[in-house]
Formats: sequence, C-alpha cells, structure tokens
Amino acid sequence: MRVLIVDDSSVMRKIVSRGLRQAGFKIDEILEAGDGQKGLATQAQKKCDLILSDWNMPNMDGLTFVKELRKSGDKTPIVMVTTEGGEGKVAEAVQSGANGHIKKPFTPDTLRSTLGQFFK
Amino acid sequence: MTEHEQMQEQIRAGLLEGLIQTVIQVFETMAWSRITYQGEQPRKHFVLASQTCGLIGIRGARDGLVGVALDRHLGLEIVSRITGLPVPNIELEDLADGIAELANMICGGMKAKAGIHGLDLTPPLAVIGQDATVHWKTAHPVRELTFMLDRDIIRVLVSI
Repeated sequence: MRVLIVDDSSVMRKIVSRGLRQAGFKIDEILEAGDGQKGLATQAQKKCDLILSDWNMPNMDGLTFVKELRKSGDKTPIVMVTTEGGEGKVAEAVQSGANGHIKKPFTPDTLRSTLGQFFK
Repeated sequence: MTEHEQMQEQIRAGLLEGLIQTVIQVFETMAWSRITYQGEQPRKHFVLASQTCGLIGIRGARDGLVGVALDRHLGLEIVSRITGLPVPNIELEDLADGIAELANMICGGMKAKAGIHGLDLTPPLAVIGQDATVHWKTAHPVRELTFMLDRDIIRVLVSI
C-alpha cells in the first residue's frame, strides 16, 4: 500500500504521516507533495493507492487537484484533510470526485475510522 | 442595540466560545497536552510579544484577528509533540510551519464550532524571533485569553 500526502505544510505532512502509522495501517511507502501540481506529477509516476490532500495550497489547490486527477481518469481514493469543515465545501469536493473528508485536528482513531475502508 | 448589532454580538460570542474550546481541543488532540483556560483580560493593543507567534485574519460576516503566542521553548516542544521530531532536530522552518499550522487548526476549529457561514480565514502568518513584536491595528476591542500548560503560558490574542 502506497499513500500520497499532498500538503504545502511540511509539518502537516509529518503530522498526517505519523498519524497514519499510529493508526496501525500497513503502509509500504508514504510519498509527499507540496501542492496539487506536484501531487499530479507524483501520482502519474508512482501510482499510489490512497491520496490525502489539503485544501488550501499554492499553485494548485486541493479541489482543482481532485478535478484534474479525475479528469485524467485516475480513480484512486482521495480524502481531503482540512480545517475547513463547511458542508458546502465537502459536498463540492465529493461532487468533484473526492471520497471522504477528515477535519483537523484529528486523532489516530479518527484516521482509523475514516480511512479503514481504503486499507484492505 | 439594533438587530444588526445583536447579530454581530451573537457572532462574536459564538466565535469566542468556539475559540476557547478549540484551543484546548487542538493542544489535547494534536500535541497530547492538557491545557487549562485561565480567563481573559482586555488589552489596549494587539501586541504579540512572544518568541513564537501564529497569526490569522478573519474576513466576511465578522472581521477580526486571532494570534497565538508561545515562548520559543514551548513552541519547539509543541512542534516536537505534533510531528514526532525530537526538539534538537526541529529546524526554524519546521517551527514556523508548525506554529502557523497550530494557528490554522485553532481558527479552522473556531469557525467550524461557531457554525457561522460567510467567514474566510487568511493564510496563517508565523513570526519567530527573540525580540519580535507584532503590533496590528484592529477594528474591534482586543482580549487576551490565557491558557496554562504546566507552568508555561499560552496567550491567544483575539479581536473579533
């Protein structure tokens, strides 16, 4: 299982990465990208099994990243990790092809219950 | 008080309550740190005089500013706890990024808890320095909320 974390904050990428390991998921490799554009490039090269993406990022935001990835035909599950908990934004992300949403702050338990379905 | 003023007061009170709850929640959830709310005091100016500060602006239904200020050693400890990096391995960039992310999570949680539509948060700003003083002009009165983590003080300045 290969996971891609897309977030412009290096600290947040470390937090998510650590949370995934603390949640006990079996992960072979965690890859990181600092914005949506880099996320697209990384996914094209490495073909990850699950993507966790921030919302607000420079160059290409999370919503555009989701749309672009789906436009390319990639069906990898994408879960948005964000502080913005607005229903409208979540609905827009899901409509654009995101598979779920995690609100910060989160615990390993939150990650386990939200992401468990993607680790089989 | 006019209807508009009553609505603004409701928004302000909701944000303040959400802010206090979220500060405690973020420290507990992300940094495994039990902090206690000590109370609030009015301040004449929005001055962040600590060594490690995160700042976020609020725009929309209510304009405002929220700042989180910690001493450097506490900032390093918190970033260490949330990332798992040992304190000596935390670079200046990690500290700035971590404190900005802390402010981001606190304000995002405040917004979500208050349940107010039409509020936008600016990207977080981090100020790290031995003698930095951030002085910001604000539209509303300034309050300083104080939290304690063991013997350390966490100051949250708010103008909403």
